[in-house]
Amino acid sequence: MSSPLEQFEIKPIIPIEVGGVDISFTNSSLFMVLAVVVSTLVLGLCLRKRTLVPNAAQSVPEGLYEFVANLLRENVGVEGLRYFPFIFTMFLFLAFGNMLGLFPYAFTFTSHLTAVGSLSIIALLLNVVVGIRRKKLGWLRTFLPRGIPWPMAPLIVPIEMISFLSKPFSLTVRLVANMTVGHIMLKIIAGFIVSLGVLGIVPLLFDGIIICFEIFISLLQAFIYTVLSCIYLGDAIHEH
Amino acid sequence: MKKTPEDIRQLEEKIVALRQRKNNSEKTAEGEFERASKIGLRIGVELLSAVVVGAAVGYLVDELFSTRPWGLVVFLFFGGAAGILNVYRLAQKEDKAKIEEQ
Repeated sequence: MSSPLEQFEIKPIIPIEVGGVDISFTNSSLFMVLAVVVSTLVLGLCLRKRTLVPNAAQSVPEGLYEFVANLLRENVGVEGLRYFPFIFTMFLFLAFGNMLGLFPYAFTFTSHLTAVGSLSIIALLLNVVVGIRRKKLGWLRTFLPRGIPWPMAPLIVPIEMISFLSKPFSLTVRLVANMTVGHIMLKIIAGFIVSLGVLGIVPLLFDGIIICFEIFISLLQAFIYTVLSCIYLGDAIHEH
Repeated sequence: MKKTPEDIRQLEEKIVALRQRKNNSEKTAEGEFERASKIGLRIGVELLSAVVVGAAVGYLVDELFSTRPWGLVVFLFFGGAAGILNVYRLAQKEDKAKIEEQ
């Protein structure tokens, strides 16, 4: 029987190397492309016939739109709606990435620290750019809150900097850990189905329940990731 | 301006009523235990991630200025402090949310 960790292996599909850097098109890249294509197709097909009173298909993208727009309004405020395209794209990318990964033989790119970490770094950079554009030099106050005496600065500044950098990291870990744990659990319990023979019906039932639960977790984690990146964006716009 | 058709106006009223009902039910939907465990998990991750980032920064400082092992030693402690700071801020925010709710 194969190891439960085998599903997380990255395999190159089209090997590419530029200047000694490996930028092969891997199974991870394939599923990122799939997530983009499938989410675009789903939204595009649902919005083909547009009416004032939405039919069943049209209400799916409209519901998603309302949902993310409300998140932004609550966590960032009305001015946050300017960043709606970024947040909405991120939510769809993660939600579809999580759910595509649940299909048998599929690869879950959201279970890799590097993939989600890069996304978090983009969110962090957006936070920095927005913060500097809004508050100019006052943005540096993030690292030295008001009311702290100057002699304390050498101690406070590194602590605040690490606290700032740890936000995207904790964001990443939460999503990655959830996806990885779910997939390992599914695989281990699936391993019992064959080895237990007739009694294998018990783990089979259990796996069925876990799959339903994992669909819920996929959406929930994409949602939590989106909410927290909204909050970080809000921190950049408002004072502490 | 074109007059709004009767069926759309009725739909609008229905939407308003449903939204009100949703707002009323949302407050009690989340149990105390669920909420507490969610915060607990978050605190764990926040605390740990700051220490890890602190260690990473320390390691980078060591690599850049070849001061091994002092960067790692100093920044690991900074990381721990940042972790406590993260948790403190999170707890403060949750407290504020709870007071506003009541």
